[in-house]
Amino acid sequence: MFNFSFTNFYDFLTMDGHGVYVWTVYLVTFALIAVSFLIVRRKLNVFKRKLKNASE
Amino acid sequence: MLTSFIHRFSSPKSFVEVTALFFPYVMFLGFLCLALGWIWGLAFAPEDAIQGNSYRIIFLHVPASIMAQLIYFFMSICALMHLVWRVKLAAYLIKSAAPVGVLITFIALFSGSIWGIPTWGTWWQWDARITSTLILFIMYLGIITLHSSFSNAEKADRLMSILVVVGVVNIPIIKKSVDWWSTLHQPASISISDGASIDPSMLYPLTISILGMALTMIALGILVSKFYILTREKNKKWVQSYV
Repeated sequence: MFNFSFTNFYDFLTMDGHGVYVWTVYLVTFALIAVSFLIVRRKLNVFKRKLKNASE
Repeated sequence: MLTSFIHRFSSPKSFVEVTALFFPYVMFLGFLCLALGWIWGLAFAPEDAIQGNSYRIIFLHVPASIMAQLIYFFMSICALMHLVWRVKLAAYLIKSAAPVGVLITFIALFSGSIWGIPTWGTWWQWDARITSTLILFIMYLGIITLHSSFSNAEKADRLMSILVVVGVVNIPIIKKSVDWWSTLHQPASISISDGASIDPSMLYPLTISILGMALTMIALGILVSKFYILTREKNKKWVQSYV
């Protein structure tokens, strides 16, 4: 079950011509999820800082 | 008795405090399962006999599609709680879950479109499954827009909840669209009643990816809801002391 499905790393990247579709989907999704976490985290920190400054 | 129980355990303050405790674990487990499921699916799962390697998008597309529907289902339960028991937190959770729904439904549509190019020869087709998922995406955007268009937040909460309850009719349509109509989209690979129609060597990484996507979206939802609750209740004493 854990045998590498490709003969080499180049085959893994190209995936018989399907690599461009597969990798695009995974990279875009990873970027969207990561950026979402970062944006919300940043907004939360800015909000906390503003509220702290206002109360001081 | 049920009403008092619900109100006691659904204060925004308790929600923020309790979820903050397990947020790092949910996020870590989510990322870990996603990484494991995706690496397994991309590198070690066998090639599909018909679709070749393009089928590997399934390890992302199916979890995203499931979450797109589950988040709306969660929102509809919250909407009922808000309309029936006037639970304030339920409305906050709807408003927080909607942007997460937009994100994951976009990912489901995007990954499906890209997958369609090598498999169907087209990135878009107005068939039942794809169109009903697009309607779900528009519903999420509509919910956010509706809430933002009112200056009275309580009124916005109520109207948003009504819209969510009305829109839940789209969820069984999405689910059953591949059975009710003749579509380009393939039938479900995993079904609660019929089990899995795919080989275990593909099923295991898919299941791990679904779990990972669910935990990741829960973690993102916790973060968004924390921000929204703190913003909405910023004039309350507990927020000042919490921050």
